[in-house]
Amino acid sequence: MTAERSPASASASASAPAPVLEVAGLARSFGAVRAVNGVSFQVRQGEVVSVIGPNGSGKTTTLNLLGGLLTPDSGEIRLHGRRIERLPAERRAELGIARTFQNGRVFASLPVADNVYVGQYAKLKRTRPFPRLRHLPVLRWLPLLAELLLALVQPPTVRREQSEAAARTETQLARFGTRLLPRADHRAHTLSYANRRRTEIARALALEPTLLLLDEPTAGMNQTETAEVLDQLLDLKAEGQTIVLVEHKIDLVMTVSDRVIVMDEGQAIAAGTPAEVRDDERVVEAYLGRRRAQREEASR
Amino acid sequence: MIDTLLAGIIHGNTYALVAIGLSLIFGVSNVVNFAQGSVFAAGTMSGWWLIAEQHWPLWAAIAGVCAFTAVLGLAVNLLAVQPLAKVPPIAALLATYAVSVVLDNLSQVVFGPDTRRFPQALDTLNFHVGGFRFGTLDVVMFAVSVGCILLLGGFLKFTKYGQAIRATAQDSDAALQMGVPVGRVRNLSFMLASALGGLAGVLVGMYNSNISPSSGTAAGLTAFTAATLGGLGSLPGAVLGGLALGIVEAFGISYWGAGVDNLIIFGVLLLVLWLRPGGLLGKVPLISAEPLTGTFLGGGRPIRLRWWQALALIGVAAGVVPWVADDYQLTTGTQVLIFAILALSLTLVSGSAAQISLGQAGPMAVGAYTSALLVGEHGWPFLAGLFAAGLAAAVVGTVLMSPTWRLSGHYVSIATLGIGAVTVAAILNLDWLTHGPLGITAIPPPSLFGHQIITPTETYLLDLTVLLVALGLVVRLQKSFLGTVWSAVGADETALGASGLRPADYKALAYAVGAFVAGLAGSLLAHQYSYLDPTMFSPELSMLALTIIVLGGMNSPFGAVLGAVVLVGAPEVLRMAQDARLLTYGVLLLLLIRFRPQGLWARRA
Amino acid sequence: MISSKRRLLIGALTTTSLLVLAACGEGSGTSADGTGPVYFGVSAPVTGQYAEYGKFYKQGFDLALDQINADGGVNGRKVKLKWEDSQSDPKQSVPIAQKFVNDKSIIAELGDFSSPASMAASPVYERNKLVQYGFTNSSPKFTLGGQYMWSPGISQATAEVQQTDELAKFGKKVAVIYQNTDWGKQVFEIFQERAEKLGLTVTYSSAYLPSTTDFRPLLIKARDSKPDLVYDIGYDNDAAAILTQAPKAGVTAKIFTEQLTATGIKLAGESAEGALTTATWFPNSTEPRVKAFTKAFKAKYGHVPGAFEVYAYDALTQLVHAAKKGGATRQGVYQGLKSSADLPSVQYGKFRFQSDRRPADPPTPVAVIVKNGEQVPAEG
Repeated sequence: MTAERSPASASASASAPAPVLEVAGLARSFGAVRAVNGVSFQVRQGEVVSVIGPNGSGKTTTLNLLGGLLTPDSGEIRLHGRRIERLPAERRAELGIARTFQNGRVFASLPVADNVYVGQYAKLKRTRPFPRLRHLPVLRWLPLLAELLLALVQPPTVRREQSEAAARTETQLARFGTRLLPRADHRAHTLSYANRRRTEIARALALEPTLLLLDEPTAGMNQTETAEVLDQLLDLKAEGQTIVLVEHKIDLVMTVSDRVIVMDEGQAIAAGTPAEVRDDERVVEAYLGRRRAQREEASR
Repeated sequence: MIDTLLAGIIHGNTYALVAIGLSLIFGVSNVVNFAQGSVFAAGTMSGWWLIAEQHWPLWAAIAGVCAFTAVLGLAVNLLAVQPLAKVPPIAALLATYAVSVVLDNLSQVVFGPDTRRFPQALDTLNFHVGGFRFGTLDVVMFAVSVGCILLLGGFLKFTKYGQAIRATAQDSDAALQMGVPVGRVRNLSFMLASALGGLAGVLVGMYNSNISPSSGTAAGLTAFTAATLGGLGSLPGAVLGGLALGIVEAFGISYWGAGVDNLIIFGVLLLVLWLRPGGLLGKVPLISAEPLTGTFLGGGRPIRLRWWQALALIGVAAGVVPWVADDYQLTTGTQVLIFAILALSLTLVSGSAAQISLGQAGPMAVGAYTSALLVGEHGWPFLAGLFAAGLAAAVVGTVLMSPTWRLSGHYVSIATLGIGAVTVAAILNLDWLTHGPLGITAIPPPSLFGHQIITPTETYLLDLTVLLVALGLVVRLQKSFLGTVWSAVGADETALGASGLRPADYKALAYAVGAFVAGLAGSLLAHQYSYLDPTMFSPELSMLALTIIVLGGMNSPFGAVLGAVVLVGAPEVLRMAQDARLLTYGVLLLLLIRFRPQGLWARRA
Repeated sequence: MISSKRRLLIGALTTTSLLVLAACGEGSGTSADGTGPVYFGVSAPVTGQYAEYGKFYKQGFDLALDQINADGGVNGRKVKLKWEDSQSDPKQSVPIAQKFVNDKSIIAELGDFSSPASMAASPVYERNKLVQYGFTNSSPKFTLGGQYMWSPGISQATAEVQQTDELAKFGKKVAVIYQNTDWGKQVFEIFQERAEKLGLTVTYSSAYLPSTTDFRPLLIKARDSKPDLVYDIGYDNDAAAILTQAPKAGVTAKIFTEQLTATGIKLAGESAEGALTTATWFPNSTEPRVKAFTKAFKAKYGHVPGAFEVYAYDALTQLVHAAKKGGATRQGVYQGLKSSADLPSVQYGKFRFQSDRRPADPPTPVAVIVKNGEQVPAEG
């Protein structure tokens, strides 16, 4: 697997930290439809970057390309300088990318606590020995069989690691106050929609990710719920979490983002601080249509 | 050469005719309709009856058969598919399998089991190319296939109902919102596909000339391979796939003899699934739908036995039963135990991880043969043979299944079907190792520390011990962190991948454990029967294992045992209801899936 | 609450079924105490994919029963059968064996149809000293299962050699296709050996799965090898399919089948004309025993008997004969089979068993050919 480092990271100057994520020339088509048509941007450590745009502009496809659900037709994605665009989703998660999904994906038949537990399972060292062998064909059976044996025998080291994981699970659940903790052993499908989405976020955070990708985390939520999510995002931001966020709710985007990228028809038509983007003509045009923009222009 | 090619095309055509219906239904309802073969067979038998007994002219008989099978198809949809539209398609697959069992047995009850001669209403010898002769019938069949594509294609493209069908196939929810009468559309598709199946039944019956009520299953499976080869959901693909399969088969038989028939057919199936699951002309959806409501069969929560309850049951099974029961009951008990172990092999992979395996007969066969050969012909001690059986089954199964795990949903299930069949076909053809069709005889009974285990009581206790070991293994694993990961695989693979875990790895691990357990069951079987041959490990065996856990509760190890008691033990009690036995089994399975999919030993989650 | 109720229910169900099993298990019918009917157990496929053969068995058995009981049964006691549907499935034939063995009124067992079903059950019969009469199990390995495994089917080693000798009269170059089963394979191997001795050339050979319905690719290959004869080692159903399909494949050589009886001829219709086989009996035979049997069969069922009906008829009459000779007990039947020199048989006339529990000196089959829908002796 190639792990090319870009010259930029090697000679990073002391002033600007190397970007966590670099996207260059990303493109992906479905048949004749060019869903993403040449998108480039960077995300620095601790930044919250939002991607907005009208329906069908390619936001979710971009996020799926970042997360590994899709591979690009062309273009590069670098995580800490390392090219990842050909890696499968699970590999990217191992490298530190966690994500949530547009309609929310939880392990519906598992209790909430297990959902979060699975989120951190990949990082357990004692329970999952020989992590490097897992990427090799045939040899991957060594760690798998070891894992099987450990599940059967469960020596003290493993049991200790399991209780540590359980403790971490509680911490993650506590982040959501009284929403999830009291329901820790309820099966996820019994939860309200909002709580399911929270569970999903908790699972993503359990990975302790370098980069968090959120796909419309407040979709379907009412004002109060959205406000709660906003608070949590601000908390995460304060903790230094790097986030790429796809959202429709402009208020939330403007409040939480350091930078905003606006997409339309597969391309990034504007990028900058929230203020810069809000006043950008092209953005208004994209959202509201050219004639309306012209009418407004004419009526000034 | 040309002759073989022609023979392949003509025979392939018979596959194509049945495959078209399969693909049509799959395209529209996203369901693998196991009952298509039975509808086809019903077409053959009713066609025979109309022509040979009622003396109708051919065209009238065809019209009658198509009307009859269309109604049958409608019934299948209304009873087994439509009510299960909201749950994962595997439910409908099992339901249609149940329907096929019912239909096949009804047919046998109505028509009797005899093989009959289908009247040759169309000429079969009036043309020739070189030495190869064919007839009007073959031309008609080809014309029907081509006509189907053209007519159906035109219908689908240009008529209102056709477009409604295509819309439903693409996105039924959207279609519903656009005012498309999705329910009626699905009914129509089923009726069309089944009428086609009936027509195929008449033509192919004439072609084969020997017909009987039990000839549907094989036709269904082969047509299924043809449809998969061409691309499930694509009508031209079904025809193309059928022809291609026929040609490959004809040449394969030409070079290697017809003993490799099944190897070719299921080998092709596997290659398609591994290399190009979409088939020649179809497409596999890129991103699976997001399952927010929980899986269908894993949705039940097993009732937990408390330790003292479990101990009490074990006490009864081990201490009381051997005293109370007579030899016949104990012998029945050993069959129950062996099949409980086989069913247990499914709990982790098909229950927790929701990878429905339709081919557990494969690893069971590997285990049986390994144990028989090592202990019987090489003098290994029984316990070593038992363990080796499990190990061999696990290794062989893992190797064969490894390309399959990146698929999901019913593609995995189809692949397991293929693996089961290929394993048995390989055993049949590897004469130098397995004695092929001759089978293995004089397999010694199990021997522990010099004592031979031959009485029913001893055999029962041995099997019970192995069951308890297997139960211990499965329960321990299910309760461990691995069990949680496996359940996560079953719940949502995509989310699992996003958490940094490779679903394929865990599916493979669950399957390996299951195969090991199946191998143990195979070893016990071999040493009890003292005789083995490949025909014992049929698709029916695999389906029985699956039915047992569906009945007992897919997630529940104890449910596997309970299911075995009911499905293997009870028929012994029900020996009086001779004819109705298989029928009852089919009806029971259908009712279960419809009304209590979580099984007996589970609460609805 | 609900859960513990359910536990109770399950527990009750399990216990009840065990008790019901126990009740059913109590032997039914009278023991062999010298009065009441004499019972034979039948393990055969009544339902399932082999049900056809179970039906043939029943026809043969029922005709035999009519005659046996009209004749006074066994020493004045009526003869009756206890049928169990095994579906020819070893999973079922084994418990059935145990059931029969438990039932003291049963003095011998008939069946099963397929090798796996019979051979899996053999250990049970052998251990409990109940004669297992596998009258359609021609695998040589069957009788090796124990002292109590008997088969009136002629060993393939003998029968196939005889058939090959007859076949040689009709051609020197033979294309062979054979069922890929234990039976088919063994027969083919015996054929090969004998053919070599006789100087025949095997121009082409191939196995086929018993479920095969389309023989065209094989027949084309066979045709291309330019044989005098196409030889099929299969049953009536295969023979019929091959006879029907051979002209389509352009086969002009004569067709010789291992087995062809009225069943197959009916299936093949006009294509059966000219088909060759060998038989120790055929419906038009002038042998008085065959004539009587065919007449009685036609009278009862309205059509001419095929192979399996005869096998069944013969099997039951033989067991009854043995019971008459040795006594209507399990050991009696065993001894009767061992010591009788004149067991009745429509197929072979009178015969006795040799020490390997197969018929001794069976008659040489004759070649027959289908003419006008019936089999008549053929000239090579």
